[in-house]
Amino acid sequence: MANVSVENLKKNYGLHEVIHGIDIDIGDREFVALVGPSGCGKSTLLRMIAGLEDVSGGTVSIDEEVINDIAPRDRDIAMVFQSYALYPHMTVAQNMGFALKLAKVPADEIDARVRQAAATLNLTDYLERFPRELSGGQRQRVAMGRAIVRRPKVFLFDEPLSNLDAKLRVRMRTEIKSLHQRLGATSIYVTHDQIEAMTMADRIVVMRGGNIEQIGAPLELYDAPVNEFVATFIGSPAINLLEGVIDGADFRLPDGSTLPLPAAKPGDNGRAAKYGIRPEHFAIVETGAMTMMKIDVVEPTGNETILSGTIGGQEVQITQQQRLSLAPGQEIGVSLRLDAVHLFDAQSGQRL
Amino acid sequence: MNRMSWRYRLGMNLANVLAICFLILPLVPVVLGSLQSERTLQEDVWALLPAEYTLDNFRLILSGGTNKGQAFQGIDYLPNSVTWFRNAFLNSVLVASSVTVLTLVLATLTALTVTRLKLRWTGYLMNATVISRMVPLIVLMLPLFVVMRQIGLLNTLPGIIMAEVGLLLPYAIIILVPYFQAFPKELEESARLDGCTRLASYLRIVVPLSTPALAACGVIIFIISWHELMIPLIIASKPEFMTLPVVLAGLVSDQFVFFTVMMAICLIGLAPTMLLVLLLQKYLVKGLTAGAVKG
Repeated sequence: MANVSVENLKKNYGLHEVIHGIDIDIGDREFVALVGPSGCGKSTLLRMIAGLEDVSGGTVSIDEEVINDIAPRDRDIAMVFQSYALYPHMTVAQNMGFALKLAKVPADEIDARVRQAAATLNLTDYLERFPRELSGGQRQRVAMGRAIVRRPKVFLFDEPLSNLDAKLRVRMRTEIKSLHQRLGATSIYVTHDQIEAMTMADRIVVMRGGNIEQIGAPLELYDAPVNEFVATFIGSPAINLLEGVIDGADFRLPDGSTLPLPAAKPGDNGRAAKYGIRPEHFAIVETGAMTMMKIDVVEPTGNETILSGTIGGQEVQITQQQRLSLAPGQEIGVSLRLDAVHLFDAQSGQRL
Repeated sequence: MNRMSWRYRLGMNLANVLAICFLILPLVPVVLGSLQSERTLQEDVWALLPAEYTLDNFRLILSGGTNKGQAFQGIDYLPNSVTWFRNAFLNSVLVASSVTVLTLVLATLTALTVTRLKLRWTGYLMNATVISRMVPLIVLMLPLFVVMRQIGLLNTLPGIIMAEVGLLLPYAIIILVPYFQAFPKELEESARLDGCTRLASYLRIVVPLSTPALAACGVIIFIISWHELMIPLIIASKPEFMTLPVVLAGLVSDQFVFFTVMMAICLIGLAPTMLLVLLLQKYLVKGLTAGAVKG
């Protein structure tokens, strides 16, 4: 097992720099997710760690050893690709044993390790099949199996679940997480799906445009996003952001109505800002309402109800655990959990 | 797709039959010609079927001119083409197979370089390759002769093989490059992480999965090399280095034309290419349509 560290890592294609000096330290046995919108550089970063892309600047090290110029095959890293990249001309067993065969592991040991991995992944009945004879979920598991038989220092996952249907994706998510808990291998997982990142990772790295926006534990990012981007990226339905101006102890919306602020910010008085609050931090109240919300759409999902509407003319979504009999067009009084309010600068998007 | 109407299908099948006839019909007189003597052929040139059948043409060429049979009883001069036929057939097999193997090996490596290594000059070199195919072969014959004489490869099989590989390599590269471009990169990357060098990942992953393309390309090269006349004609002037096309050309001269012998040689000459196509049939259809649809 190993720790991975990336220091001031840069990547350019010609004159165009796509990763602008990134630092991450990943501890032994840690599960780290890299998330961000497409084109944020998360896959490129992963491929640089794997050795499939050249490093333009900075260093990648495993166990304090710089591996910039070490060939992929000598890095002792296993990677699960989005397309699985199973070798079509090899059976499941051959696919899983390929790396061991190249490493000249004795045949009986290869067999034992492949069988063990297959048992872990419920693939024992499929060992003699070819990839084309397997379903999407089974192929995905073979790709996982190919990685685990090697017992590598580091596992890399490049959006491994995005080719699966929604139901299977949720199940594989759980399987990968429990596998990680059993094997305890250092893992780096790239995804654009924040739910995957939240549910699986010990720590999340949020990236945008080749920079890191924030690194932290899932709930840390959820509860204390450093800027508007992280706040909106993490959480579903997304955080509500209301535009307005800080006015003493209140937050004044453009239509003149006010929302209460958690603490008076004298220095920020008069500053244009965004008032961020997550959908579940609203409560519907009969008396003592902090503001009024006009309901446009009611979406019951069973375990919760999503209400979409407007506060002071700006769109908001709130979620409620109890079942509600509300109709579109209705006005309701809501109160907010003030300790869960985040204020972001209107220009920079940074948290105030 | 909608089901075709019967008229449409009938039309398509008719067109198909016509196209096949166009390609196959010239073979009919060749077969008939090879089965009769020169005399019966000349007696009545309008006859559709020969008056009598004989295998003497085949006997003559397969025995290297010693077994003349009835048809060639009175003929005492036989050109080199007849006496050296068996040798020429072996030469052709040797040349065409070596050319095919060598071209495939070199073209595969080149195509992989062009598609995988992002080297500065590969684009220009690829263009040069394509452009070099625009030069008519006949223009190159004199320089080729001079070069071959300089390096002492005139009148040798390696000389012929080398010249043909040079001629065919660009074709093979042009055929293989699009195929390797469409080859999923992840497979090689995965192999490289699994412990392969770049070369090993080509050999263990890319090449085994490219058999359709390689088979199609190989057949095309074999056929072109098999009927290549100009290069062996110019490089080798001695009868012991003749290939089949040279033999055929040698049967036509100012003094004589051996029609029936020529046709028999044609038929024997067709056999290897037919055999190859039959053997590789299952790969060929896949290979020739490779990249046409997302598979």
